[in-house]
Amino acid sequence: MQLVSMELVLAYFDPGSGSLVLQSLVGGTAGCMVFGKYLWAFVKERFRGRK
Amino acid sequence: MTLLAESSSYRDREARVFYDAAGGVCRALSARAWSEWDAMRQTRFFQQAIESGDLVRTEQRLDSEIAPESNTEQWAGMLQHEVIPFVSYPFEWSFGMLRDAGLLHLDLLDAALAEDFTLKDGTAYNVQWRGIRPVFIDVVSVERHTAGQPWAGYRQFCQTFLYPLLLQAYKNVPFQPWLRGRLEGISPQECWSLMSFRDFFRRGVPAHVFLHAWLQSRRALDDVDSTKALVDAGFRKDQIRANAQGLKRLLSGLLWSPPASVWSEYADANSYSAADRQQKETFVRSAVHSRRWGLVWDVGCNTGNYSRIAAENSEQVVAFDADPLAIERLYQSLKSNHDARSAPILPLVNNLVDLSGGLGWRGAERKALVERGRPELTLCLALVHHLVIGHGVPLRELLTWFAELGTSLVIEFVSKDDPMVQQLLRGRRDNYADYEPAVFDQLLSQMFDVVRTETLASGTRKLYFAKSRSAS
Repeated sequence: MQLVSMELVLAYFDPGSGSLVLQSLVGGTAGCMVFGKYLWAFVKERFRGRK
Repeated sequence: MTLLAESSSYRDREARVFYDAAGGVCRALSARAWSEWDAMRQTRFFQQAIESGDLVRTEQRLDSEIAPESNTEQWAGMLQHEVIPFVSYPFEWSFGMLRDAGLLHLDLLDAALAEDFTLKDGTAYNVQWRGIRPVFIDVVSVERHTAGQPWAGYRQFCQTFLYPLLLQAYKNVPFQPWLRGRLEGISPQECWSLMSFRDFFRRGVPAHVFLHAWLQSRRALDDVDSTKALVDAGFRKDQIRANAQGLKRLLSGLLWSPPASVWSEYADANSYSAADRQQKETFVRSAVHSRRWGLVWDVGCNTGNYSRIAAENSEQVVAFDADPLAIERLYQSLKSNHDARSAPILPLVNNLVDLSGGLGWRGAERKALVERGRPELTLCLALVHHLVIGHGVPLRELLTWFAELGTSLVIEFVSKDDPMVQQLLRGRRDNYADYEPAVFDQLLSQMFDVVRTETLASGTRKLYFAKSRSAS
């Protein structure tokens, strides 16, 4: 999984990164899985970045 | 014909609101927005929302009217909207009004998602009122949903709907001054910092406030494309719907149970006799029925008893009170009981001695009260003593303000012998030499044509019906 920059949300204001991510968690059980996957990808990316 | 751009409609470059010379409201759309509109108007939810009145009535404008070009492109087409009778802002709404406006927003989001559309924002400024019916006005906020995308407007929804309601319900903090102080609303971090340990366990707080604030404060997230990560992780529109439905349950369950406030108890505790009340109603009704009125203001409306009388023979009544609880009670009472043959009544929290001026970009985005529509008739009952003695407003300035509004007046003067005025004067030096019946009579007849006066049976209250000299 790659966290490359890709402008997908075409908002005319800043929707807030954290606010977007949180929606997977408040979106029910399936959403929690998404949040878990997101966190895992996030940790891997950070880890890779520090090497 | 010249089109005048609406000063608040500048953020979304895909569309802009204009006023035509006849006062009509139209919206110019970019090619992209026009294609979204074209797709949306064929959906079932759009038809239903228009029929039910949830969405502002909108038609394509077929004449050759062309709006001025935008900075980047020519407009592809124009829409014509129904005119909202009196524009209001979330910082003037009561708790129940903000909640109902939020529920309308969520209903539309849910219905749109069911047909693969979404709302691209989530601000409370997308909603206006026809009387006590909330109306979603930003039709270009609806667009086709792209698979895997979260709801961009979620933070806006929290900041302008959810957090203000949570603060009022959980902390008894009035949200109106806060929303007026910052048009973007209350940030997740601010909302969280106002919560106590106990609040952490209340509905909505752990996820929508605590986690939201925590995630917003992670600077590391700024380096990550959250949307891309969510798409890759399998985010689906069902999760937005689940969130919208969860927010609906949360909002519906929020209750505000405030301590009794000064004005909301006024009707029960005031010094009127039944005879005085009857006489006053007859006087007001006679003024209201002396001709057909357009916009009527009832300033210091309290229970809205006289607003209802004004609605019998006018186009639109706006009922103001400084007390959010009085407005909330009036709103709830109108919801359960309002004569459909009467004019719509819009209750708003507004304090004449603390009115907001223009706010936002250039101070023109959210307009001052007077700029949003001048009344033809104003009811100002049992209020003058509060303004002059309670707040120190000079009597001459008060009457000049009304005269300059160009409104006719039904106004009540309560003499210093009245128990309510005695109560106001307690503990103050009585240096209100202007607050005398003779001075009031003289000033009023200098600025207005006084048509009729009547002293109530108790002898301490006098009613005046005074016509504006500038009115047509």
